[in-house]
Amino acid sequence: MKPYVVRVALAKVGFALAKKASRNQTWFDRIARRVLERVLKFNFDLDEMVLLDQGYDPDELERYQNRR
Amino acid sequence: MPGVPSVGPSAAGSRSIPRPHQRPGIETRKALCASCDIACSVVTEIQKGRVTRVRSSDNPLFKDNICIKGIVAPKNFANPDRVLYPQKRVGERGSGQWQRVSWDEAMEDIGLRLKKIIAEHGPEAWAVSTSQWNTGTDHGLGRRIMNHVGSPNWISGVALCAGNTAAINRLTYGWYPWPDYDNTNLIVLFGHNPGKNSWVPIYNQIQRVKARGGTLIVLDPRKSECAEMADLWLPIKAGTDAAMAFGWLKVILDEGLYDKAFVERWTVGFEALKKRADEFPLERVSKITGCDAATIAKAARMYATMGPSVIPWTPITDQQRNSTSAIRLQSILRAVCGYLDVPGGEALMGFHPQIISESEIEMHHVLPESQKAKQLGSDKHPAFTYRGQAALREPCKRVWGHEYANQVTGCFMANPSAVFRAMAGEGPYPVKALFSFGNNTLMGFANMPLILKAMLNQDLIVVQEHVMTPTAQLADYVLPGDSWLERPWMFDGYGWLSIYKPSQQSMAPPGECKSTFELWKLTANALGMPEVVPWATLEDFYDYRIAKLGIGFEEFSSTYEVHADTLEFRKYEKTGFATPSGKVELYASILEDLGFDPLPYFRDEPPADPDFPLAMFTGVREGEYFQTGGRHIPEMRARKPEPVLFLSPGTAQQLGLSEHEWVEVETRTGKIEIMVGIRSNMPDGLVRIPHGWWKPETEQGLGKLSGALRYADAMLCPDDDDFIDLEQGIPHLKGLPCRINKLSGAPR
Repeated sequence: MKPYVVRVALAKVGFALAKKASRNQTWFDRIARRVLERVLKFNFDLDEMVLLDQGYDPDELERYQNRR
Repeated sequence: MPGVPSVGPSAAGSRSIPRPHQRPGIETRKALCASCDIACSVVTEIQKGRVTRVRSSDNPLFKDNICIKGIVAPKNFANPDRVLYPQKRVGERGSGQWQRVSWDEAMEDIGLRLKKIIAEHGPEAWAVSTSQWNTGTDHGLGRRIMNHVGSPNWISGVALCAGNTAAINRLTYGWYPWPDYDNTNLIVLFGHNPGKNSWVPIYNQIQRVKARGGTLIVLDPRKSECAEMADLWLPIKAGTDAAMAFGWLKVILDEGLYDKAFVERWTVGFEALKKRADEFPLERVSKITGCDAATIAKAARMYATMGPSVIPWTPITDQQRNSTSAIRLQSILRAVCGYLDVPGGEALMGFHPQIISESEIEMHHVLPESQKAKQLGSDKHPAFTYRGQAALREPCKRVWGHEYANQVTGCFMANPSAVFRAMAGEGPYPVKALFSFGNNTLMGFANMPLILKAMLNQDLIVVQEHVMTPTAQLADYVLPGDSWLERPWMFDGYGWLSIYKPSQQSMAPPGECKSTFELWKLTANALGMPEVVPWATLEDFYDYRIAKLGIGFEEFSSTYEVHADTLEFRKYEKTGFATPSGKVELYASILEDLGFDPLPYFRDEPPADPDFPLAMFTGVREGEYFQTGGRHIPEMRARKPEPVLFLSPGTAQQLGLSEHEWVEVETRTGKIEIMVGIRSNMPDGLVRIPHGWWKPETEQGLGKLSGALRYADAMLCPDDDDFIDLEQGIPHLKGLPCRINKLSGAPR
């Protein structure tokens, strides 16, 4: 594991980038997002149903709700 | 010292605007998922006026905090059987005969009947049961109205899930701490098993810590998913967390692995604690917990020397005969090892300085002391009641600026079992009205036969729900509630984290569904006290709470992802701890004053019951469902269509059981039917029962209650003295005696 001071510094940089990235308003924000997406490359153990999810068709939901 | 900037969910001041969708006609909104109690940041996609997709947040801090319960939310709330209009019971209680009425008619009648009950029996005859923490939408307004009316009898499932942990932590150091996952070196999970569809942000945090070289210790009777990725797994006997923690403490004290400077300067009762720990040599601990002494010692040394370490909250320790002592011991381990309020340890966050907390909204100070004294259960089991927390009022004001800190809404509750007994006519005074909001009360606590009797003895039951739950089926009025897709929301970190997260409304509520805010406002009006809820709308209410930020809720919700004060550690160096002594109370003066052992202890289990030779572990929630909810969602039922118990191949063979066979599980309290699931990771003799099963598609009404009487684990759980924690009066759900009876005939 990296020394504590290094982790603090990295956390500060990461946090600054995250603040920019999540604003999503300027080109720099988008670049920050790209950088973070590359850095934060955790292989999260997401459920396949989540990974494949494309949402619902609004008409399908309407039919389901009204039992048609 | 100032806190370390964090790239985890504890990040302060994080802003976010969702990316617009590439396709025209699809609008995106920012929301917090309330399909469970975690409040993950998500993005909703809206077409034709309805939410068609829920995906994870665009904010890199919260990326991948999503699970299957969130993504099926559009289908969940489009349920064709959803309650859309106020329903009034017209037949006998539980007859299943309803009449649609207007909100005005319903609230007028509810107000009249509640006022009559209060006039006849006193305000304490009105009880409220909510899952405020889970749905997070009550905002303390229920307590506020109850406090003005004069009733102390508010209960919630948090009595046995986190709320009680918060209350017990306060006895030791005045505030319930939160793990600093971003900087910790080691995580200890006492039976907790966050996964890809349950407590997902915590699961992701654990993965992050592991990915950067951190260590994971898991204590669990079965080799759970988290145990699989642990560096050290202790197959602890169910229900023995307190003994295990004593073992760790004994090793740490004997070997001098504790933070001597902190203990000397900031604790009271160390010598007495040491003497108590001496009663737990590893041989004894090993015998109680079923783990070998060398492994226990190894785990203790890892915790104490590889830190800063964290012991996150766990629902498992909450639900044991020795819950108070076990939670206290976890608190003590944190403190003596120097992990309290330090980076990588567990942070005491306090109130947000600029946002009005729910504790303040609740106005506990207006409830007269004479009414607080009537709180049910506070005589025998006071730990989380007004009486048990009273000595913390002054210290809390001194350190945190407010007298009442209702953390995880669990710090000033009545005891649920005592309330149900009073409802059933077996208490010191009658309780004749129950409001159950977003909370399937019948199935949410131990001793369901008692709760059923209690509900049948009520003059008025009002339920707010999405579906006709077994509890709703017994009501006088069922009022339609909105969902998290259909309302704005401001999450307050459970009054625990000082973190505020806004959620935008994504679609209009269907039918006549209303928010809990509106319902409480209407209740205040119906009781003739409109001034108690003076805000016209939910947005006005939020504007009031965040006024000091200098922005309105609309701007707050459209820009912020999280609003938190900058985290500061070791605040106690300036203020002391919020306890009567101002220090960490290893020897709890509050417990002593209440007549309990001020030191942690271990109460042995009652003698073995030869008629019930197996041990049962229940209260377990499945990834597809949250508590008793979600069984009506087709995608979830396709994945998990039936309740399934887990037992080992050896136990199955011994009992002659086969996979998918239907059996009956029985305790001295009741019995249920369930399918057999044989799992190689289960220890012999232990039966694991899932929580909260009923089948919404089956027959409603008294006698069936949509399968609740046939499948709900609450039918099995006792609340008599042998199977409760003494200080809190909460049930022991981890290691109950049970037996399995074979069933003949075709599968159900």
